[in-house]
Order: sequence, then C-alpha cells, then structure tokens
Amino acid sequence: MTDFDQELAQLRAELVTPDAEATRRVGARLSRSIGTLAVGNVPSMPRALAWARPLQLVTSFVAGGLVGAGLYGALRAPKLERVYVERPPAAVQVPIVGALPATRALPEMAPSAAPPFAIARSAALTPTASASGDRLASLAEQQALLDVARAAFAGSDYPATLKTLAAHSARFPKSVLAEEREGLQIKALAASGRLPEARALAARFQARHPQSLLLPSIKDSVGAIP
Amino acid sequence: MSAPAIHGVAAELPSFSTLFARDLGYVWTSLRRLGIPHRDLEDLSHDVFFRVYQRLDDYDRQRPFRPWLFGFCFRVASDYRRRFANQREILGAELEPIDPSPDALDRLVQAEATSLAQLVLQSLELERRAVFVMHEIDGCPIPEVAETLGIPLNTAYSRLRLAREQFTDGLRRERQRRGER
Repeated sequence: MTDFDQELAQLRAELVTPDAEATRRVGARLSRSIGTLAVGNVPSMPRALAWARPLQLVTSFVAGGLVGAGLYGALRAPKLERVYVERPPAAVQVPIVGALPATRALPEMAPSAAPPFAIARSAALTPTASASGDRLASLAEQQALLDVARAAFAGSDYPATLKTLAAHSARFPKSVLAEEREGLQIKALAASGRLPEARALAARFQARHPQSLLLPSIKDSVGAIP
Repeated sequence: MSAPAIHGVAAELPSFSTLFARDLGYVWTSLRRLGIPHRDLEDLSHDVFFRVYQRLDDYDRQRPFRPWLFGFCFRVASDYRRRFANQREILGAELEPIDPSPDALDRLVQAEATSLAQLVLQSLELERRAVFVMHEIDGCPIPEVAETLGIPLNTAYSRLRLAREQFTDGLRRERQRRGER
C-alpha cells in the first residue's frame, strides 16, 4: 500500500460524529426552522402531477411569501430569533382533482417548542406529530447508546464496547443505525483479537452494505474480507 | 417502510426525521472534511438539512442519496467560506474579534486537524477538495461527482488530478518539515 493509499485509509477512518447532545440541539433547531417556515399542511405532489408544482409554489408564496425572506434571514442569524411574524394557520389548498397519495404532515409548534420535530415526507408515511416525536426520541436514545459504545471503543475497552452493542442490538433490532452498529462491532472484534469472527461479520456486512461509507475502515481493521 | 437506501436507488424515501438521524453523522463528517471548524459544525449541519428539506421533492430517486446530500454540504461550506471572508462587515469587531488575515479560516481548521492526512486535506482548494473527498474518500464515481457539483466531466477529472498531485506533494512537504523521512 502506498503512502497515498495509507493516508486515504486514514481519512476514511476519521469519521467525526456529533454527540447525542449536539444531535438533539441540531434536531430541535431544525424543528423550529421547518415548523416556522411551513405554510400549513401543503400536500407534496407525486411526480406524475409535477405540472401542478408551479401552482403550489404560487399559492404558498401568496400565503407566506411576504414574510418568507425576512423569516429566512432570521433563521439564518440566531441573534435575530426574536423576530416573529404572524402567519395564518390555514392550509393552502391546491386544486387538484383526485386524492394525493403523498402528504407532508408538518408540526404545529411554537417557535420555542422543544424537539421532537415531526416531518413525514414519505408517500407511505403519514405519522402524527407525536408518533414522529416518539420516533425521534427513540432515535436519540439509539444514538446515545451507540455513543456509549463508541466511547468504550475509543478507550480500548473492547469487552464493554461489544456488550453495549449487544444491548443496542437486543433493544433496537431494526435500528436505522444498524449499519454503524455492525461496523463498530466488527472493529471491536478485530481489535480484541477475534479476527475470524470479525472477518465473517465483515463479509456479511459487505454483502448487505456494498457501498457503505464504513466499508474502507472495516477492511482496514480486519485486513482482508473473505 | 422499506429499508432506507443510502447509496442505491431509494424507491421510497424514509421520513425526514429518519434521514436526519441516519445521515447527520455523514453531513457532520463531510462538512469537517470541507474545512468547517468544529465550532460551526452544528450551525452548518442545521443549514444543510434545512436546505435538504426545502429541496427534497427535487431529489431524483433513481440516483444515490449521499452524493446528492454531499452537494448540499459543498454549497453550504462554500457559502460559509464566503461569509467568513466578510465576517468583519457582518458581526463587527466589538461582538467577535477575529483574525483579519485572509487565511485565518484555513489556519483555524488546520490547527484542529488530528492527523497528517487531515492537515494536508485542509490545504486543498475547496473545489478540488470536494471532488477529492467525493471520489477518493466516499468512493463516488467521477460522472456522479460532476453531476452533483454541477461541473463538466472534464473539469471534474482535472480537479481530481490536481487534488491528487497537491495532496501527494502536501504529504511529502509536511513529512519533510517534520523530519519524518
């Protein structure tokens, strides 16, 4: 491996991740930004109805356009957060015949409200604000537990890392952070000398996540994936 | 809900809160690689996801998600560097005294580098660095890089070549300076 490759491997392995508190803060701020900017419950459109998008934009602009620029400026500059603007809560109706399968449920919350933020953009998902809030709380919990494992790994306490990851796996078997969890598990196994197990898991990881951002650092940790 | 597709085709996009939880780490790391100092990572991560939210309807689900997301990181980082250059006009010296030299941001970020590779990476010009990070670190094919950054394919290849040369030279010079070899 050349110097260039070695340094690249180092760069790939250097993942800077926010801690749970920073994650919560960014999420809370995002919740306020999006909640404040939203103009009622505007249905998002399927691509087949893309012709109606200009109409949606125009109606959204009429309802909230006068305050949009000022509000956006306020959001971009925290020192101006005291600038509030009254906005009618009424939903903007887009005159499209037929049901729209894709909806965006936007949270109704005061600018100072704490997280969670509740935004559903999926065509198949229309959760309530509280349901999304629960999900976000759960995600924060998942992230926090993973942070505990990361801290143990950083301190070379591999048994504690693996124990925490096992607890994470038992508690959140279908976590959206499973990819990160599995990656850390492989690195902890490799670092603790359990290379055959690590390589077997790495092979499975590679099959499941062939494009994973974590794959280069996993390969580095196990040497070669069978 | 189907499993979220990060690199592959996302037939169905997960909810925004799931995207946020899943990709905040990637955005955070990408911004760092694009030369954002630690103190501003929170603000700029917020800005990235805010823009993503506004443009999510424009996302082409036939394309991989993370390169698209990286495009937002690049534009936010680029805007940030322009703002930083004008910071004296925006904030005023009495609020936040800053180093007036033009390379203050580079020196701040380089001082935070935790490895030789990171230090050298931070010395690359932002446009070249973006191509380098997307292709060499994230493993994104150059046509996708060009599409994401909105540049001609030849320009993307040219920037990659220059970034590689600059990175290699930077490593050599820094090692010499440190007397390593």
